[in-house]
Amino acid sequence: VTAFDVVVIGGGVLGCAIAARLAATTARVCLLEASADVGNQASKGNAGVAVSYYGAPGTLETDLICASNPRWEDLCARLDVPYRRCGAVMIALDDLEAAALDAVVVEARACGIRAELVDGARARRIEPMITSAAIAAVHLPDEGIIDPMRLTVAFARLAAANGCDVRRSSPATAIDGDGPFRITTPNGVVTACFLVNAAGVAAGRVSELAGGEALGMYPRKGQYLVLDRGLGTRMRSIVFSTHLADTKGTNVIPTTHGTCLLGPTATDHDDPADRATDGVTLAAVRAAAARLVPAVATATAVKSFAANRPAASERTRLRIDPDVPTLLHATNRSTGVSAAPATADRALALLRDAGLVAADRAGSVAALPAVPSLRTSAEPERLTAIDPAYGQVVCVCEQVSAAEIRAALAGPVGARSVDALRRRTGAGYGRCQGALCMAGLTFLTAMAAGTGPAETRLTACGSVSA
Amino acid sequence: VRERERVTDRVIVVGAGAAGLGAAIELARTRPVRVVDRIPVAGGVAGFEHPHVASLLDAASRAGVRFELGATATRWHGGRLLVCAPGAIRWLTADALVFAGGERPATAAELGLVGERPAGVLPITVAKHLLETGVALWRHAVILGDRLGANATAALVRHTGGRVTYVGDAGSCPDWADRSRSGWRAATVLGTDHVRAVEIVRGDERERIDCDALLLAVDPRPVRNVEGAIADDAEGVLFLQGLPGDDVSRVADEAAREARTIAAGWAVAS
Repeated sequence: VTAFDVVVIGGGVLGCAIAARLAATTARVCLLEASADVGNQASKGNAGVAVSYYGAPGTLETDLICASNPRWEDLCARLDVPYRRCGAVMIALDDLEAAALDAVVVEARACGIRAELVDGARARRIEPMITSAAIAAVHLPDEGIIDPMRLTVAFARLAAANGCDVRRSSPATAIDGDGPFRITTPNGVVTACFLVNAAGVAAGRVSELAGGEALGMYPRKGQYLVLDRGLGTRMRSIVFSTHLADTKGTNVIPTTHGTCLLGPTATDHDDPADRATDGVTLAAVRAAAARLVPAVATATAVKSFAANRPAASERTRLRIDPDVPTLLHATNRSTGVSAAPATADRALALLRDAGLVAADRAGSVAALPAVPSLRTSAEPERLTAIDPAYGQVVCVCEQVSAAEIRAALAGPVGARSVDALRRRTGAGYGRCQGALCMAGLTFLTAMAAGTGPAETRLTACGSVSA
Repeated sequence: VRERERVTDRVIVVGAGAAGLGAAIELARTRPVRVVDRIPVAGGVAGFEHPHVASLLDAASRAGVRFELGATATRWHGGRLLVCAPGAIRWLTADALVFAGGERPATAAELGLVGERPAGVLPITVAKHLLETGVALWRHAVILGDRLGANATAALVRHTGGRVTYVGDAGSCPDWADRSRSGWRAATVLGTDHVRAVEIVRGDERERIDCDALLLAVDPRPVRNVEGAIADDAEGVLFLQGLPGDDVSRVADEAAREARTIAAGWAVAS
């Protein structure tokens, strides 16, 4: 039994951000993640947008987004996370949508967000890839693209660097007591004075185990299509469809990898393990996206995927349980990435109010060592001076070197599966989807994990051999 | 201390397989040629031991072709090619790039394959490489298509005690499979952690095949992975991929013929 002041359950972007914030204090912190890697659910299956605007002012969600948004450049520089404040255009294709844009501008400005109504011609100067059918747009210059998986891993690594005990493959199977809590996992028992429930779609189950309220979580599936780099690198900004009362619609989003993401859809269902795509939906996603950016109609898709957002009647939840005063719930249906930095600060404040003694600790680590990327390096010929293995290219499509692979396998919260490697480095993300490199990635993962090829994990839970 | 070697070869050929060697030998008649390949030996998919590869290498050496093996070409920009080898990343200059990087199987997305994304759905190239470790990996592999080493991969599965089902074009019933579903195509992948089954379709018919590996060996696409040399019309690039012929000498001859035609239009080195 190991005793902690706070145990965070859930290694998604929120749980990792909260753990990182708590670990920079005098509190003793543990992070429990049920699956074999952090960021394995909603945090790996989102649009990769750090939004500035998502809805009406005066809500918890808007407050958290607004408090997080100005911080991205500094935070991502410290944590070595790809981020670009590229801005977005939300475009209207008909009079109904154009009318809705007026309300968007009013609402965004009421939130204190920069937003400007522009005509179609001006919108096309901002983003030349958009359709000539756009009659008006809102320019949102503070929207940005971010690598959500790198962000989640970076938070977890920062937490670990500050002494947080990060335990993966450690689902909470039983929670006894209510301060201190006694949490049973397959990897041992831990105790905690305070519990943070950041378990995403499983947060209802965790609350139930801890004697807390019913949270009513359910999965909301989103399907996405990823297009090859040819198109994504030509896009300057994010293209949103007009937010209407019942839908935020399909978007066209350049990614930090240079690809282009189409989606998401939103379908409520009841099986969190169901992450299946289907052809009808993906065709509809592409058609809807092509109405915004016509070039997507013919661009090559490199992959499709689906993920489940942790939905509930309460879209953003960050508060102490009404019945258990040492249990903090932290869930977010759609804006977990965008709200993570401020959510972490607010979580610490709420825990302090609830009695946690956690003074900020002088000398805590605030930055992670930067690992230069071969693909984006302006002077690649200098990289071998840092590490000769930069010259050994493992994934050619995405130009990921053995030096980057090694860095992702090493250190705290290192990759233990090919998927985890892919998420940390981009290896295997490209147009051949690993046809040239996946065997190599598997052997490198096997060596780091000390397993044979058959037992090597390809995904978080699935190995090479059945 | 940084040392940037400036090499002024006029043509760089990426790929030391049959096509790359055939083109290099032809082009070397009129200009300096350097061949770059990420694998440390020549031969490409045919392999270094192939008898005709050895004669191509002899011919290349007589023609003065220089080799840079174990070096990966990554960017082509403004007449310079970024070449990465362990301990040395360099820009090589050239007037033209001949890309003979071979083929890879179509991806799940290119095939319109939907459903889950579990472990065990692999490009045939990866499956073959993994099976070559000699470990019994799968009890029942479904192989989509019969290209890019599907037969050799099937033999490895069967050698380690597994069964193989072929799914692919009508009229093709390869002798390397235990069972064939000709005229069917794969539609949906099932299984959360590991692939459990694949749903195949033929017209309105649907059938489910339980399996523990789904290997993609259909509809080969040209490998394109040098930034700046991705699109068919990339500036200063000649692509030699997917050439007709299934043996080394025919592919090499075909590559030489194409290279000769294209090079006839190139300015001669001064």
